[in-house]
Amino acid sequence: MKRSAWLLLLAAMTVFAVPAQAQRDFLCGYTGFDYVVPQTPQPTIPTPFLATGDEYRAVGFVTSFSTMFTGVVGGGEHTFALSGATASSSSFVGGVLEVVFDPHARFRIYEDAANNGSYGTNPPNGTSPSTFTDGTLFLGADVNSLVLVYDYNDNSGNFEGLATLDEGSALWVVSPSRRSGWVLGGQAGRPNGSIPAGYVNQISGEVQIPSVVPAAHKTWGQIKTLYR
Amino acid sequence: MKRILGTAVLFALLATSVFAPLASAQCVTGTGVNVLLKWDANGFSFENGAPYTNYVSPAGNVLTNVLGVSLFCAPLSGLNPNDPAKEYTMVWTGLVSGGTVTTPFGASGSKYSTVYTGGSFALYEGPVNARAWTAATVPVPGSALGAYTDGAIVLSGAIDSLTTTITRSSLGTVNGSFRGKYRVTGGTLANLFCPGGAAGLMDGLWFPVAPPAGYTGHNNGKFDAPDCTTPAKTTSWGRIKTMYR
Repeated sequence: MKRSAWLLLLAAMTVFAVPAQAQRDFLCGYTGFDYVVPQTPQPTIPTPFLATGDEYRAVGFVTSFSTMFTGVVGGGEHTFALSGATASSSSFVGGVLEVVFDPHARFRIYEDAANNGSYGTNPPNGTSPSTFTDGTLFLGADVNSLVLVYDYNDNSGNFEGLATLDEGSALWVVSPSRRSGWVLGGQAGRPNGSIPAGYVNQISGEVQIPSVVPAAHKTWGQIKTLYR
Repeated sequence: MKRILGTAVLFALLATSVFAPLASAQCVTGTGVNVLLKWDANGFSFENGAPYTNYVSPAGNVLTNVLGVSLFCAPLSGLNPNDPAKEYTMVWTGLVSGGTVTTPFGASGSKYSTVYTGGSFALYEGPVNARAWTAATVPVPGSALGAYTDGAIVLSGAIDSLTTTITRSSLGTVNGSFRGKYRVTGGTLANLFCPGGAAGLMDGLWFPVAPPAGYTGHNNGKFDAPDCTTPAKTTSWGRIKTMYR
């Protein structure tokens, strides 16, 4: 009896695991602005951006969610905040800035009926990040191996880190085996007329797992053959 | 009678306010230059010509990009990307590669910059038949263009220049971005934009890792609304009077 129950559980886990591996490579997309606290003047870099010890932050809006959250995403606005990313080293050579961050930055998504997200100017200010971090914590992640590269020759750059989902009201949607390995990536662009005063870049990005792991239906016999 | 007319006008105004799509908070930056449209992780690029390998685009290759729009802002806020009866797709075509320039940076990083010129874009409002927008289901490049170009062209124009910058960081991670300028010159909604084809910024993420077969990467980005403000400068009353004499 016990053995049947375990087999049934194993079969159920297999059925639910396969589609997750095959399709759910996208978590969410977002857009917003980044800023630095404190903005330590950098005589060699064109903008006062990310001296060692500075904290890199970003706030903005989630613009889309994976279909895995269908029925879970509620009304109101969905905002995000990136915080706790402390620059541990940087180099600026040939107009290219590279900044490596300490481990354990935090990326959080909030669901808020207030629809009050407002950037304001010169953050932190009366509305930012506070109006991007109010409401219910929907999903949060620990971010490691975060690096930012910005090319002042092309006026374009990007950032990337590895995110492990570990908190929030919607965490249950993502199976435990699927909570790590997410790539938090984004473009960082300036100069740009849409950047409010005091912010550094407009950012546009996503949380995803880059490669889609192929999956196929197999019989137990075929699976056993793999191990013989 | 006048009072009835006045009331009718008031009701009409109220109706407009209620039924007009609300400006999404995602669109408003507070600076006066706002997002025009955005797509999320469902843009895919490919190149025709010589093989694209290791983030290097051979000079003369022609880049095509296909995407599905996920957000519209003013003056396109009347379009609903979630309308179950329609879909909004965009294609970029004819972008000729000037060849990739590779340069080192940082401790052990590499940068791959490519400038593309001479391209154009077209935004389509079509029937729902091409929503295969995920990396797992996007059509192969040979048939993607046809799937993304059905329906009416609501907006079209030139892409004056597009620069993609892919970086391999000193940590070994690979990511990228793009930046370019576009101008609206046609389409059924071109009249919503300032005449003269003011340039607007287009930029976003250009992610080259593990793309779908045949593609060079996927992208996620936005078009900012063109800056249609009229240039102004300080002058004196005397100079202004001179203009009318």
